[in-house]
Amino acid sequence: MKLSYEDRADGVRLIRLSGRLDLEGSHQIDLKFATLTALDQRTVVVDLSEVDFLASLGLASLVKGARTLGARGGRMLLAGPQENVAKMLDA
Amino acid sequence: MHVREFASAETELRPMSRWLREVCTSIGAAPAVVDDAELCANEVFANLCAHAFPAGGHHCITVSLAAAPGGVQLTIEDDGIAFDPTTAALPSPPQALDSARSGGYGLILLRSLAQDMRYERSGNRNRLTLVFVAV
Repeated sequence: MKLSYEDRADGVRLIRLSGRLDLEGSHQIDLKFATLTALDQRTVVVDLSEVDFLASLGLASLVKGARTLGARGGRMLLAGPQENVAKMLDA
Repeated sequence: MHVREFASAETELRPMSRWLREVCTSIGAAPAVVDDAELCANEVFANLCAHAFPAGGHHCITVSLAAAPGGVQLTIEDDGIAFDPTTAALPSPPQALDSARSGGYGLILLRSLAQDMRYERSGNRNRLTLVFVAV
């Protein structure tokens, strides 16, 4: 699981994830993802276009980040899920 | 029927996934069926590793795959504590990402993605059978 990010001029933090967001993938990014989403009143967009597998434990990592952001007046948006990932999120 | 035994360890999740995808593809399952079977197998396997063996020790999880009309049949057997996912209570669906629980969605996935789900306990063994069909 790979993670990269950029802070855009409009204040949005864009986090790009790549690979399998399963148990092992979550372990690889959890700390960094938690750090990057510990923001006050910011919008974080998580680009899932290169995530080819999302398990519920991976979703748990995303949810934790979203809850942290929400509690601090910000929000998280998930963008570009592949078909199988979108199906998992919709379920 | 394709059968493989895996150790009850998180490190087996990815090898199990790779084997499952190879077998499902080889028996002609549609890509969406392969994806659903892999996701559900991951959910069950991960939960077994985390919760089924509270006393620890070395255990095996047996994964079986067979062609089913229109899809595949996945069977997972273990000798862990009894747990019936067909009757366990589901968490409430979240209204938004930031109000969601951070866990407990495996059951929802199984019930959403599998067309049929059966559980039985025989002696000290659990057997969960899931059927995935192309829609």
